[in-house]
Amino acid sequence: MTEFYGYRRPDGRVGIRNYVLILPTSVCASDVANIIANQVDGAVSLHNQVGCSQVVSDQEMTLDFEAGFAANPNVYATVLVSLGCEGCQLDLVEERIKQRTNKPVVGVSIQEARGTLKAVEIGVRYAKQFAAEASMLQKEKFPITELLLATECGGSDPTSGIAANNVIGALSDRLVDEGATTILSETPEFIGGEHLLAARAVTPEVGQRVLDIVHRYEETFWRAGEDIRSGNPTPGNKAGGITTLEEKSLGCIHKGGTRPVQQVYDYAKQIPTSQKGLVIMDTPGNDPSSMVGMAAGGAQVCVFSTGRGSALGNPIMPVIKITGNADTWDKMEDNIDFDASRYITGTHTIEQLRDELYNMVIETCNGKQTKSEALGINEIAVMRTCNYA
Amino acid sequence: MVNGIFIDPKDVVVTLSGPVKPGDTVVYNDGGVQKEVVAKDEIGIFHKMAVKPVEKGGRVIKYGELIGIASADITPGEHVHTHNVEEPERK
Repeated sequence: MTEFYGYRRPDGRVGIRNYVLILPTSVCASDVANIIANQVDGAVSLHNQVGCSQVVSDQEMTLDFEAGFAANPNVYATVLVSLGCEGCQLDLVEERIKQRTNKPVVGVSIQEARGTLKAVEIGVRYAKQFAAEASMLQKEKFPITELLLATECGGSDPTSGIAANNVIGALSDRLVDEGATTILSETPEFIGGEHLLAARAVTPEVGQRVLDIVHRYEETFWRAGEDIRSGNPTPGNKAGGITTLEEKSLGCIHKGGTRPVQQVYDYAKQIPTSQKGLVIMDTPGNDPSSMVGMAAGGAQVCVFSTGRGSALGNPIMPVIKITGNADTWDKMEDNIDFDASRYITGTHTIEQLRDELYNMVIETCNGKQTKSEALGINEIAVMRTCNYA
Repeated sequence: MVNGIFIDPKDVVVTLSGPVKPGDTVVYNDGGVQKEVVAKDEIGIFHKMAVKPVEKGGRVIKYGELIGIASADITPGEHVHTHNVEEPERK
């Protein structure tokens, strides 16, 4: 069985990175969190655009994202930074984190600390202590069954459906067959193919959940007077060779391979380590927010197909980008890790590319930086259904 | 050189990696075996060409799944698109 080097966490999960996460609980604390992270080697932060002035259902998703990031096994420990009066209060976030993990977490409130400068000092002292502890950890070997892989596609073009997503689907099948776990995401992209995915579910209940999340997603648009199903495939899709809605959808969901759908998870909910096989997470088609949901679910690494050439990454989950477009590979090799256009030109089979990508995933687990990691691309977004209150 | 992308053994179409004219040969890889079909139509890049016959009313398969129903008899080498494929009925 394939093994990879990882960090054993006290909650039983296995990380492939060893970050101290400086997590702003709301937009109002994001700059302070970033200042703290910039001061400490081994710390990472992000720009949190939510966390206050949210309706209950949106705040719940934010709390799930925040707790999920702290619990993600690539994180050694978390320093929460709050303003003090926001919706996502320190104790609320801390409680949610403790429901998911027993890893270390501390918090600092800017208002309670008497301002930005004092909060930065407190936060830096916490973070440098955690960073020193984290640096003492030794990597150990773990079986591939400990891997939870996220899959994503964005900046798609016709090559995504016929090359890159096929390679990712084949990779997903191989990992599932070896006992690992893979996540298929992006609910709106199931539309037209949801009945095919539902038919692959292990039970009628899981199949119904697949249909339900698509329906629920559409409903949020109907409430705003919008319809995401109409006009699909678009005239542009048809001119590009897409004939039916099923074909368009299959191009996207093919990155989930062909294995049975074991379970459906709501956005940013924790996927238990006992869960194996292919699962679905209800996420937006928007790439940064979809990847955030899967990272919060516990995914250690993501494989991301992009025809046009996405520059995205993620703060805590390494993102391996793969293109089926030879021009994009030629132009954007600085951003993209894997060239799947070799399938289109016929020099390589899907099986050859699948195995090459599999090896790249293992190398990435073992510590090799992805292109977006090397460039420090950490932008995120979080799913929401309503405007700010 | 391979210019047709054949994704699943059950598929009846290939996706073309470059445009073809009637009489051009389309080469594709079927599980490690190179196969050829002569194009009957002018077909654009990333459009589909039949490699297996489908009768009117028959299932058009790509990605190993049903993507549509043939609205006319389709023979190998023909362009497969909205003129000869309908959206399948949905449950």
